[in-house]
Amino acid sequence: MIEVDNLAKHFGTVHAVKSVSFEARDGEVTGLLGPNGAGKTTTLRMLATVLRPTSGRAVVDGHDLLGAPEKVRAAIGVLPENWGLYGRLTAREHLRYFGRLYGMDETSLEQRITELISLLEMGEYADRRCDPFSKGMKQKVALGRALIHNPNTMLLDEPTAGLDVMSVRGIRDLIRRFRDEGRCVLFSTHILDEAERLCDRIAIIHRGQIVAAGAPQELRRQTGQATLEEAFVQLVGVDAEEMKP
Amino acid sequence: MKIMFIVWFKEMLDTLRDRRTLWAMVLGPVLIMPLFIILPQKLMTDQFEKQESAVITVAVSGGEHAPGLMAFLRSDPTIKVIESEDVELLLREEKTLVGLSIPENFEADLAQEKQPGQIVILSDQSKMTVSVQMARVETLLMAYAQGVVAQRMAVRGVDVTLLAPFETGHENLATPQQMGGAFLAMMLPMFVILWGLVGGMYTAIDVTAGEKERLTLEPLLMTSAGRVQVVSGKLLAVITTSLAAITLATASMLVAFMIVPLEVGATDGAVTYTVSMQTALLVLLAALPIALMFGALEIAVCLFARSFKEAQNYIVPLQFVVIIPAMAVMLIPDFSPGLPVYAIPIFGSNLILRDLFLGTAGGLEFGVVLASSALYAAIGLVFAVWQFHREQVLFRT
Repeated sequence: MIEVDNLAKHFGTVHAVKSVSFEARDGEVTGLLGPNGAGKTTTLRMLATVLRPTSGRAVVDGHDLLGAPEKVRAAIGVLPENWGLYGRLTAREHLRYFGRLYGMDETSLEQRITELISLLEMGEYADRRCDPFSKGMKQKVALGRALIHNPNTMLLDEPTAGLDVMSVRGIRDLIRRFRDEGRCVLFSTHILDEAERLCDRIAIIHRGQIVAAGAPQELRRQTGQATLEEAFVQLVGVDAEEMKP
Repeated sequence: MKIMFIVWFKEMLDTLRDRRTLWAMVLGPVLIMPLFIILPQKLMTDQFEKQESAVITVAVSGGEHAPGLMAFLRSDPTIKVIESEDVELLLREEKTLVGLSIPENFEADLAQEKQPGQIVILSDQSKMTVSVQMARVETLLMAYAQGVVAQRMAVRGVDVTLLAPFETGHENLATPQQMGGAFLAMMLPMFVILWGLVGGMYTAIDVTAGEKERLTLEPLLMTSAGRVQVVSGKLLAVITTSLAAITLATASMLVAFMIVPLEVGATDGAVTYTVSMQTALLVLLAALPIALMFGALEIAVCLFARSFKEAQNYIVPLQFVVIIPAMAVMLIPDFSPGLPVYAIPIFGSNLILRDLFLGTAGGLEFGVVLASSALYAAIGLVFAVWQFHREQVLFRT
C-alpha cells in the first residue's frame, strides 16, 4: 500500500515533480502513466528513498517515507529504469549479495535464490558473469535482485522498455502474478496500451502533476471519451502523441 | 558490522576479478620496487667503481715539451695517452673525456727551476663521469709534481719528510643503515606512500564512480543496508588492496636485498645495507594510517565523479600530494626537525619512514606520526561518509 500526498521535488529551479498525490493498493496493479519527462522516474525514486522530497509526504506499507526510510526500503522491491549490474559477478552472486544486504539468513536466502532462479527461468546462466548478458537476461537478474527479500510492494520503472516481445510478455505475466499474490505493484510506463491492459488503476502524470486517476473505465467516463487514448489526448494535449506504442 | 563485511567481501571478489587491480596491487609493487630502487643504486656504484679503476684515455697536446711527464703518464697502466695537436677536437668528438695541454718549454723551465706555464686540463664537465676521470688525472699530475719536489730537495740535501710532518687517515662512523639509507631513505618512503595511494586507487574508483557508471549505486542504496556500513565496507576493501600493495612492495624489497646485497661506502670498507624484518614491520605499521587516510580521501573524491574516467582525473593530483612532501624531505639533507613537524600529514609519514630506513627513528616521533595520521584518517572517513549522504553527489548528472 502506497499513499502519496502532495509530493514535490525541485532540482534548483527545475520543478521535476510539482505536486503528486495518488494511492496504490495491495492486490492491485497501479500504473503511473505519462509522457517522457512528466516526472514518473523522479516520483518513483522518491518513493524508493534515494531522492529526498522537497515537500509533501508518502506512506509505504505504513512507514513514513521521511520518518522511517530504512523501514520503507525493507518493504519495497525496486526495478530501476536503468538496471545496472556488476559485470564481474554472476547472477547468483548478485542475488546473494543483495539478500545479505537485506539481512537475510543464509539458509532462507539460498532457498529464495533457488526459487527466484526457477521463477525467472535463469537456470541456464545463473552461474555466469553478467557482463555479456542480453538485455532480457540482465533485466531478469535485476528483477530477481528486487524480489530477493520478498517485498510486499514493488516499484517498477518502465519495466518493459527496450525488451523483445517474449521478455515483455514474461514481465507482464509476472506483474499479474504479483497482483494475484496480493502485493502492491506500482509501475511507470509511457505506453497507453500496456497501461490499459495491465492496470487496475491508472494515475496520469503530466508536467509534474497528477491530472487524473482511477480505473481505466472511470477515466473514460470522466473525460466522456470512448477510448483511453482519446481520454489522454484530452488530458495531456499534444504530448500524448509520444505515448502510443 | 555484519553489513560492512558483506560489502567488503563483495568488493574484494569484484576487485580481484579485475585485471587492472591486480596490476596496481600485485604486479606493480612486486616488480617496480626492486627495479626502481636497487637497479639505479647498483648501476651508480658499478659505474663509479668502473671509473675508479677503468683505463682512461687522455689526449695530450704539446707532449714534446714534457718527455719526462709523458713517460710518467705512460708508465701508469690505467692511463692511455694519445698525443694530438687538436685535443679540443678529440674531446668534442667524444674520443676522450679528458685532455691535457702542456705549455712550451715546460720541462726546460722546470729543469731551470723557473715557473713554467700552466698545464690546462680540458674536459666537458656536463658529462656524467668526467669528474672521476679528472680527479684521477689531477692526482697523477700532483704525484709527478711531488717527484719534482723530491728531486729538488734531494739536490739540496733536504729530507723530503720535512714537507709532510704528519699523515691523516679516515674512519667512517656511519652505520650501514645510514650509509645505504642516505640514498634509499629518500626513495623508499615515497614509494611506500605512493603504493598506499596507487594500490587502492582502482578499487576506490570502482566502488564509487564505477558503481555510478554501471548504474548499480542506486539499487545498492535502495536496500535496507545502512549507508555508514556500506561506506565502511567499501573503505575496508580499498584499504585492503592498498595495504596488500604496500606489504608486497616491502616484501619484494626485502627479497631483492637478499638476492642483490647492496654494498655501500666503496672507499672506506664496503658494508652491506639491509632492511631488517623489524624495520619492515614498523614500516607497515606506519603505513597503516596512511592507507586508511588515502582510502577515505579517494572514496570521498571519486564518489563525486560521474564516471571512471572522471574519477581518474581527480586522483592524479592526489599523487602530487604524495610526491611533493617526499621531494621536500629528499631535498633537505640531514633534515632533523622538531616533534611537531612529524604531525604534518604525509610529510610526517615521509619523515618517520626515512628515519626507519636510516635506523634512527625515535619512539616519540613514531607515536606522533601514528596518532596524527590516525586523526587525519578519521577526518577523511567523516568526509567520505558525509559525501555518501549527499544527494547531489550520489546522483550528480
